[in-house]
Amino acid sequence: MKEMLKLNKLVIGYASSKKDAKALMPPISVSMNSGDLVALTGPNGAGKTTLFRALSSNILPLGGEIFIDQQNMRKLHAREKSALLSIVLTDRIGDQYMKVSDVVASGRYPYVGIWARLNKLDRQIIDQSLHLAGIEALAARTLQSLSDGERQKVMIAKALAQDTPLILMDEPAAFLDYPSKIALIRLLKTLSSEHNKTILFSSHDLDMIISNVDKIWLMAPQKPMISGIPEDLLASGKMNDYFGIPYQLAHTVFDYAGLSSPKNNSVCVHGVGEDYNWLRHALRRKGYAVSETKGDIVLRIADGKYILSDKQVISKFDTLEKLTNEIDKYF
Amino acid sequence: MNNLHKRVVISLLLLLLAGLFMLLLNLFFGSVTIHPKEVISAFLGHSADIAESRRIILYEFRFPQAIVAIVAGAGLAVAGLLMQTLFRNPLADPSILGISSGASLGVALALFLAGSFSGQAAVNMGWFTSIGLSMAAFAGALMVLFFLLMISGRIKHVVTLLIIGIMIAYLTGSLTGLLRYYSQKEDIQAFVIWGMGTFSGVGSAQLPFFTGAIMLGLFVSILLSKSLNMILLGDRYAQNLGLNIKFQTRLILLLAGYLTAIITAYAGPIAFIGLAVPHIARNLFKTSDHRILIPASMLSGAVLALFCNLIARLPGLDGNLPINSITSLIGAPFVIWVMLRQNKQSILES
Repeated sequence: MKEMLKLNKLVIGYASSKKDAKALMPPISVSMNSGDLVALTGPNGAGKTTLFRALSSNILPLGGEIFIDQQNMRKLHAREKSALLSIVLTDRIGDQYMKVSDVVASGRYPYVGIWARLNKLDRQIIDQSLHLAGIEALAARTLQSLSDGERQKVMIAKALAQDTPLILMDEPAAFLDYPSKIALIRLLKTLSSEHNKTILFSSHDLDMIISNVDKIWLMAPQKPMISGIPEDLLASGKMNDYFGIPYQLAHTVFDYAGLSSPKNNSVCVHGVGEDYNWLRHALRRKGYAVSETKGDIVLRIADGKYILSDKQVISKFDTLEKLTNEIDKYF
Repeated sequence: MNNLHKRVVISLLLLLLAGLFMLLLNLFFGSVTIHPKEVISAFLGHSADIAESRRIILYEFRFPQAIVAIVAGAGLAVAGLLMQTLFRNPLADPSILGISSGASLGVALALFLAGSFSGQAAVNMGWFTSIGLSMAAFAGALMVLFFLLMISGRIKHVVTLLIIGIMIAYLTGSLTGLLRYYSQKEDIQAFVIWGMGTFSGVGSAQLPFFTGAIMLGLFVSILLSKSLNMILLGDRYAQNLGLNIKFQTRLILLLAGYLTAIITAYAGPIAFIGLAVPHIARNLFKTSDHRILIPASMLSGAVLALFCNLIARLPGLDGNLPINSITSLIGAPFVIWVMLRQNKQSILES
């Protein structure tokens, strides 16, 4: 798998002068693969926005490097960066006359000349982006006449038109109602799994991200950032530790876990308790059918290890991430 | 898409026609009415068909005045558009950064210094002509502009720049007031008259320079269309699309300041066109695309300035009312009407 974003000992924070630099947390070394959908979460003040600003070259990191598609951000020009990374913010933009088509077309600005003339290919990409975001019908509308959910989709379409492998989204679910949130996460999953977009977004909506993302980057003030699949972070108690409050998966009316495309293989899990619940959750999030009695493979937990057994072999794993990766390979 | 394109081109052509019509009215009407036939034959080079006195009025007064109105109207409108986009604030205009109050300070300072060194009113000295006032205004405007450019590099937020600009306007305004307090009576009057604004302050000798300098600025503004469109999306999106925000901010400041400084030096601090015309252009063309807004603002600005110039002659057509009052007198109700119309539309939409 191709590494799309890599942070190497990245130090983020603010510097009022060269001597007086304040790092928000220990250096971050983490990476995500092409096609990954990753959520950045943590309590307020953890540094999510600062990290996003550093990733999008809005502020300079205090140390370390950012690599996007193997290229060091410190060595690239703004124009080159704009072809690697696009951003989606919640800021309200534009005046009362700005049209959806104008905004989406601006995604092509890094590729067009000084007169911003669009060629046939540019137009195709814009139409495709509108289609992918599901907002073809809104193209002629003004931005101001849209709902928050629709406006969010416009900014996503702009990012798609920019045609970058990596997309950063700052709190995309922040102002959305439940149906819009489900529509958003469905769109993000489609973009990452079917269109190979690598997406990193920040969110406070734990119910939504736990059931849907490939990985979580967990932050808290002055703590090292950790990366892992949602169930590992929950089962290991890291999530509780970083948020400072116990988290239990709420049985919400809206079943986010049902959003994954189902796979044909079934897995047999019998056992009770919190750990087993997270194991089942991880499997369902990946789209596997979980059964109490029969399955192609059998899983159980013993001595804090996840044990996979089929007719021939038995293997043990420390984390759910390693286990599910193995199961993905298995089928 | 293509239909939209056609509509824009047709609207721009209509504005151009309106401008030509206004230009002709400006040439015909005045203290002496010059017949359209005479105007046309004068421009076709048949100067024999027109009386010498009328030819002088046409060539030396009305034509230069109309050209100055066109160029200054277009320049102020574009400078206003640049400011409104840079600050993403619909109330911004060319005077908001204190550049035109810098020009006022320059004029007041020159009158005061000349007056106090010679012991008599500066305007009574032969050499202190309108050119002297223009130079002083230009120097004052440049002073403020360079100060703004100098500090713009240290400023992170464009709002900070806006507030500093407004503070400079207050500062120069109060200095101007102090200087006026100590100036000679005749000089104060000269200052007041300069402050009323006029399109007839550019002699035909300086007309090519004035026109050329503003045209150059207008041309550069067209080259900035794409950058301005990006800036309208907000700094972070613009940066992510590959724009060098710091450099572009300075360039836009420099350009708007350059246009304002030259126009204010020659025509005085003309209010309102810079504030109102961008709103008129946006409302006429229903767009936020600067590739359309810049030419639309130029044409609308020229038309409005020509119209105001005509109104300024109105009382019996031989008057010479201060342009500054006329622009606001006509512009303010018009903008209110545009805003109310827009408000009605958005209520209907929602």
